[in-house]
Amino acid sequence: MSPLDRLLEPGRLFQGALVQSLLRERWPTRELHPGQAVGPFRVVRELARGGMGIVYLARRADGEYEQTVAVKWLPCGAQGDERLAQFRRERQILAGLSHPHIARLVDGGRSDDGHLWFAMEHVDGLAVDRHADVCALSWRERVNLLLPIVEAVQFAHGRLVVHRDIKPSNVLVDAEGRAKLLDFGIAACTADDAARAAFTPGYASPEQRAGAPPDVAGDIWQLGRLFEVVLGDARVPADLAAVVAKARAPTPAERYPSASALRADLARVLAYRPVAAWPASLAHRVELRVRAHPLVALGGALTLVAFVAVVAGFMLNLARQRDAAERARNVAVAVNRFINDDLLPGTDPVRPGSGDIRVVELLAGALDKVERRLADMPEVAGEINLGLGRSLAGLGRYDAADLALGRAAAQLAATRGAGHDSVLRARLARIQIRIGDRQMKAMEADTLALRHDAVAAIGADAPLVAEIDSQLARAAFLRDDFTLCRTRFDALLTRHESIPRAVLADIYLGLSVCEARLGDAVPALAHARQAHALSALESGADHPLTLETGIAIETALTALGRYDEAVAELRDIVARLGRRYGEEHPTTLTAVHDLGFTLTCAGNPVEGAQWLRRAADDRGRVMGRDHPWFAMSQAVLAMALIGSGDLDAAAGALDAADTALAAHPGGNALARLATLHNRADLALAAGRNDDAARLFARALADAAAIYPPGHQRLTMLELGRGLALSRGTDPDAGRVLVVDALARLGDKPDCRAGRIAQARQVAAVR
Amino acid sequence: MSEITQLLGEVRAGDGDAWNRVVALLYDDLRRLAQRVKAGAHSLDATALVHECWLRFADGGARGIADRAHFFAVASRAMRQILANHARDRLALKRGGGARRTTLDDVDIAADREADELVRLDALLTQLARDDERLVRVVDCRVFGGLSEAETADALGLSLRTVQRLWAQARARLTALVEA
Repeated sequence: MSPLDRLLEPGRLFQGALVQSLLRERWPTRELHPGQAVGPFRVVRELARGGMGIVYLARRADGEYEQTVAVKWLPCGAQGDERLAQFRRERQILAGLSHPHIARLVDGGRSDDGHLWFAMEHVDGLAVDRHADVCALSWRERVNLLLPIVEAVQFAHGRLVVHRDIKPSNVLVDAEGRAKLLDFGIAACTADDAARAAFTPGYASPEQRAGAPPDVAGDIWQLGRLFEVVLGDARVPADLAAVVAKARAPTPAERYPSASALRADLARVLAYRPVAAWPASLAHRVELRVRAHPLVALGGALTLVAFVAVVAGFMLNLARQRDAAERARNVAVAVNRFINDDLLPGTDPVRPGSGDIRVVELLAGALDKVERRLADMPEVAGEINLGLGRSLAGLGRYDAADLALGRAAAQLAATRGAGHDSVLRARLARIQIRIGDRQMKAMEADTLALRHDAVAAIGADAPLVAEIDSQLARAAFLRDDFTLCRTRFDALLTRHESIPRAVLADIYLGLSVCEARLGDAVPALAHARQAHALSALESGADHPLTLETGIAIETALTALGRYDEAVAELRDIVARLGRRYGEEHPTTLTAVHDLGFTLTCAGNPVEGAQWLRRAADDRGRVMGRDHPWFAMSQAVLAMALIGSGDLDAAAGALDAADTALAAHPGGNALARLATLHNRADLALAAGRNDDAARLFARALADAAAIYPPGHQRLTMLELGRGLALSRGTDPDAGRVLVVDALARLGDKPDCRAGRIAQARQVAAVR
Repeated sequence: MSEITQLLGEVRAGDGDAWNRVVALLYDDLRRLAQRVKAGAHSLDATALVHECWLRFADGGARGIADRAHFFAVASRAMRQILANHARDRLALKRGGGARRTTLDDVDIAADREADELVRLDALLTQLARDDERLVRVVDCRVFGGLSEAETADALGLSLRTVQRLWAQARARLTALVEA
C-alpha cells in the first residue's frame, strides 16, 4: 500500500502516530506513581483508566487514621476562582450523599498543576454485569441486585443530584454481594463544559447524544440500559421486558417520570410473578402503562389541588369575616407567596414545566417554609399547617403529618381559642394517624381528653363528637378489644339522626371490621355493604373511605368462606388502592396482606405467600420491623408457607414475627396469637407432635382471653391440639377433642381446610 | 462552484468568527478525546469527534453555519488545517531544532513519516482544488472528518452517487499527481 493510499483510507489517519504526537504535545496528562501524594492520600497503585481519567488506589496515613480510597485523577480543568468555588459547592453536596449503595465521596481537591481529584470509598469487586455472569445469577437475582441501585439514584435525585454516567462499569459488587454506584455526579463537579457534555458511547440517552444537558430522564434511561445489559440474553418475563423498554423509551415523556416509579414497577414485577402469566393483551399493556405512572404523584396532584383550594377558601372566609381590607390583602399576599414561591416551584426542581410531581416530598419540604414565611401570621400558618397535615396523612407520611397537625393545633388554639372547631379537628386528625405501638397506648387517653374538651366547647350532640366517639371505638379495635369496639359502635348508632352521612359510613365500616374479628361474618358483611353504599353515595366510588369499605366486604366474604369471590375483589382493590395511595401506603399494604391470606385460604398458598411476603417486606420498611402489623404479615406468611410445604421458610417467618413482637412485650395479642397458632401448626406439619400439642394448649389459653367462648378460632385450636395428641402421646384423648371440635365446626368454612380434612380422617377411624 | 463550496467560502472569508469557533471547538474536543485515548478507553475516532463537536457548536448557537451537515463539512476542513499545521510544526522542529530531541522512539519516527506524507497530501489537495474544488471537499469529509459516503453526501448537498464518483475520481487524480 502506497503512503497515499494509507493516508486516504478513511479513519486511518486518526489511528496514526502523527495524531498521537499532536495530542501528546499539546495536552499532557500527568500520571501519578506509587508513593506520590494527592491531598492527604498516597498513591498505592493504578486501578483503572476510564473515559474521564485515571483511578488510583490510595491510602490515607496521616497518623489520625488509616483509610483506603479510590482516587479519581481527572484531566486539567478550566481555571478560575468562580469555577473552583462551584467545584467546592458541588463536592460538598456529593459528600452529603450518604447511602448504603452509593460509594461515598471522601475528599476532593485540585492539585498545584490544575488536576482535579476525588477520593471515593474504594469498592473492591467486579462490575455488576460480570459479577452476574460469573455467579450465573437468575433474572430475579439480577433484578434484586440492581434494585438498590435504582433506590440509590432515587435517593440522589431527591437531593437534586443526577448521575449522568450510569453504566455497568460504574456499578461494582462488593465482597458482601452489595451493588454500589460509583462516580455520582463527578461529571458535574469537574466544572468543565467538555467533560459535562462527555458521555460514554452506548450509555447515553438519545437526548444526551443530541446535546441536551443531563437530567433525571437521562438517568432513568441509563438505568434502563443498565438493566438491559445486566439481564443480557436471559429469558425474562414480558412484564420485566416492558419495564426496561419503558425506562429506555426514546423520549423522556414516555419514560418513568422518576426513579421511584421505575423502582415500584420493578418491585411489582418481582411480586407479581405468579400473575405475570396474564396474556400480553392490550388490556394488560394499558394496565401496565397506567400502573407505570407515578401513583403517588397522581394522588398527590389531586391533593395539591385540594390543598390549594383549602387555602383559597380560607382566604375568602377571612376576607368576609374581617372588614379590614388591609389585613385581607396582607394575608392574600402571604399565602400567595407561600404557594407560588415555596410550594409550587418545588413541584419539579429538576425539570421545570414537566408534570412529574413528587408531592409527598414537596409537602414535607413545605413544612419548614410555613414556619419561616408565616411566622408573624400564626392563624394563617395554623390553617395551612392543618391542610398540610391532612394532605401528608392522606399520603401516608404520618411523622410529617403529626408535626404539621401539632403545630396547627397550637397556632390555631393561640389565635382562635382552644375550643374552636378547627383546633379540635386538628387534635382529632392527629390522634387518627397514630399507628405506632407506643403512640397507640396514649391514644385512647388523648381521645377521651379531646372528647371532654369538645363536649364542653361545642356540646355532646355536635357531629364532631360523633367522630371522636368513632375514634374511641377504633381505639378499642386497635388494641384488639373487639367486643368493646362493637359495643361502642353500636352505642353510636343509636344517635343515628345527628350523624352526618360520611361519619355514619365510617361507623358502619368500623362496626363491620370488629364484627368480622369477632367471627360474626353475616352482620359484618351486611354492615360493610351499608358502609360501602353510604360512602359511594356521599363521596364516590374511588374515595379512600369507599375503598376501605371494599376491604371490609372482602374481609367478611373471607370469613364466610367465599374465598374465590374475595380474591377476585381483592385483586381489584389492590390495584385501585395502589393507584390512589401508592404501592407502599399502609392501606394498600392491608389489602395486599389480605389478598395473600385469602389466596392461601382459596387453596393457592404459593401465590398467597408471594403477596404476604410483599406485605411483610413493605410493612417492615414503611412502619418498622417491630410494628405489630409487620409481625402479623410474617405470621400469616408462615401459614401460607406451611400450606405450600416450605417449612424452613415458615420457621424463618415466625422468627421474624417473634422478634418484632418481642420489641413490645404485652400488647399485640392478635399478632401474638397468630404467631403462636402457626408455630403449633408448623410443629404439627413437621411431625413434632408433642411440641405441637403443647403449643396448641398455650395458644388456646391466649385465645380464650381474646375471643368469646365458641369462637371458631378456639375450635380450630382445639382441633389442632386434638390432631397433635392423636398422632402423639394420647391418641384416644386426641380423637375425642377432634370429634368434639368437628361437631362444633359443623360445615362452617375455615382457612385451614386441610387441617379439617385431616381431622375428619382421624374421626372416621374407629 | 457548488452551493456548499460557496457557503464554505463565505464562512472562511466573511465570517471568520464562525471558522475560528469551529477550529477552537475542534481543538477543545481533540483535547478531551485525547484524555480518553490516553486513558485507554477509546481509540480516537474522527466521526465521534466531529459529531460531538457539532453538539457543542450548536449548543452555543450555530451562528454562520447553516446546519449539522454543513458543520461537518466545515469541521472536516478545519480538521485538515489543524493536522497539517501540526505536521508542519513537527517537520520544522525536526529540521531546525532536532538536537533538542535526544531520543527518537518508534512513535516519533512514524509520526515524522506521517507528517511528511500529510504535508505532501495537503499540497496536492491545494493543487487539485484549483481544478475541481468538489473533489477536495469530498476528500476532506472522508479523510479528515471521518464521514461515511452517505454523511459526506449530506454534508456537501450532493447525491450519494455523485460522492462515490467524486471520491473515486479524487483518489485517481491524486495518485496521478503523485506519480507525475
